[in-house]
Amino acid sequence: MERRFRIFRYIIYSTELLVLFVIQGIPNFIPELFGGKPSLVIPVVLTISMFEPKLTALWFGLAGGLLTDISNGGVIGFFAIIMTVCCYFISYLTNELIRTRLSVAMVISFIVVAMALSLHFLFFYVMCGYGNNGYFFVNHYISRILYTIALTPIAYYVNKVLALRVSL
Amino acid sequence: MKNLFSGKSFKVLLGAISVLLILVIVTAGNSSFGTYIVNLFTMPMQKTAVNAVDSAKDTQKSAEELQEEVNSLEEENRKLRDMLVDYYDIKGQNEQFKKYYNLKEENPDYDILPATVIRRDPNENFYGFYIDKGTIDGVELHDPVVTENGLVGMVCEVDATTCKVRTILSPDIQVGVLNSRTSDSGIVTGSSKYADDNLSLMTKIPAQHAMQEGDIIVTSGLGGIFPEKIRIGEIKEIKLDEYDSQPMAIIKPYENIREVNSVAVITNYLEKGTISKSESSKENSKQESTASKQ
Repeated sequence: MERRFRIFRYIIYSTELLVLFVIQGIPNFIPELFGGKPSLVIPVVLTISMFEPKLTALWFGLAGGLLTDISNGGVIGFFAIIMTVCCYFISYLTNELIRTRLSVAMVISFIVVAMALSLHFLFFYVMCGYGNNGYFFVNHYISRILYTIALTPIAYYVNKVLALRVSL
Repeated sequence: MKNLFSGKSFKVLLGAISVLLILVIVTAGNSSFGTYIVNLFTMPMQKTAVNAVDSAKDTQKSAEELQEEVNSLEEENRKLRDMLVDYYDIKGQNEQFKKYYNLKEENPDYDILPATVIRRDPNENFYGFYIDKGTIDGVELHDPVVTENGLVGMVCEVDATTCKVRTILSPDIQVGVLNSRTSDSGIVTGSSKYADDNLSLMTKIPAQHAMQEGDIIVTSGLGGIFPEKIRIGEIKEIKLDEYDSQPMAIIKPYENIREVNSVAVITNYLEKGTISKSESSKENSKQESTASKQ
């Protein structure tokens, strides 16, 4: 019975990821704030990993990262590696070391999103030599980071309800 | 802590990282396979979502606006019926074809393929986007992408059913252009400084140019990627480059590239892939001069 609930929960998580992946790519649908648009998939996989065991968190991190890479075009695996490792460690932290609360989710989300997008900026902007690095980081990446983090509470509560209700 | 670095899940983590690292290395040059797999599954959902959003936007119009739109469409319909004998044969074709009628009429050698923008990624820095046409429809890498207003960019990644368009707002693109009034040549490229304002840059302008603000910039056709005389935009400002003091012009594209929703791919044209005579003769003379020096 427990196994059935778990599989059902994973199907809901996967559907949630796919739907958000599609929504975030719809042209002119999500409004731009200060030159940035949010990544909907990242906060979802981060919050899923807060309520699931390490192995599950790892797979969802991998899926979320690959979706983010694919929507980006170019190198496949950049976000996948970051999200896989982060989700694995987040699951370990929240299951064994610290209690999962919204404040904890916000801090973790801030650290991971800021790190992932800063690395993206470094590898796919600075190292490409486009110039105006400071201007571009302030006008695009900071708003993108903050916009993505601002969606964490919604993802946190949705996935918390799923993790608690769709189980024995 | 011991628990973290031991057990089955840690081994799976290491395995996943190894596979992903290989994937990064393999796809650093070409990512079409992974993109193809995901696009295969998500494109139908993406298209449905885009249609749903479009139809939701249509229903927001007032009755008067809709009536006005119906009237103007009826007028347009009547004119087209008079103009085209075979109107009913193409009646079933998409509304998009009408937009590119003039372009096709002016350039009968163009094979024009209308397409819809299906995805814009939040992490895309220079407003690149995906369209719903791929190799199955005859799209190839580096095909030019246009709208009825002018050049938008070119195809930079292509799989079976979708392709990614790099816009003229991106510094990664370089388009050989001419000033249609003075015939001064240059290169249009994007700039991180101006892309947010839907502006491009024209560089490599001759020092003794005669260009003015408001001049129209068109493609030169040199290089064999873009056909000649496709409109790009008009000169908004001419100034000197802050680094090398060379003249450069800020170009305002005729199309709002940041929000464009439907485009067309020119899949074939008469001189596609052939370098123009003037360019090839320059190239030949260069090679010849190098050879004679040796």
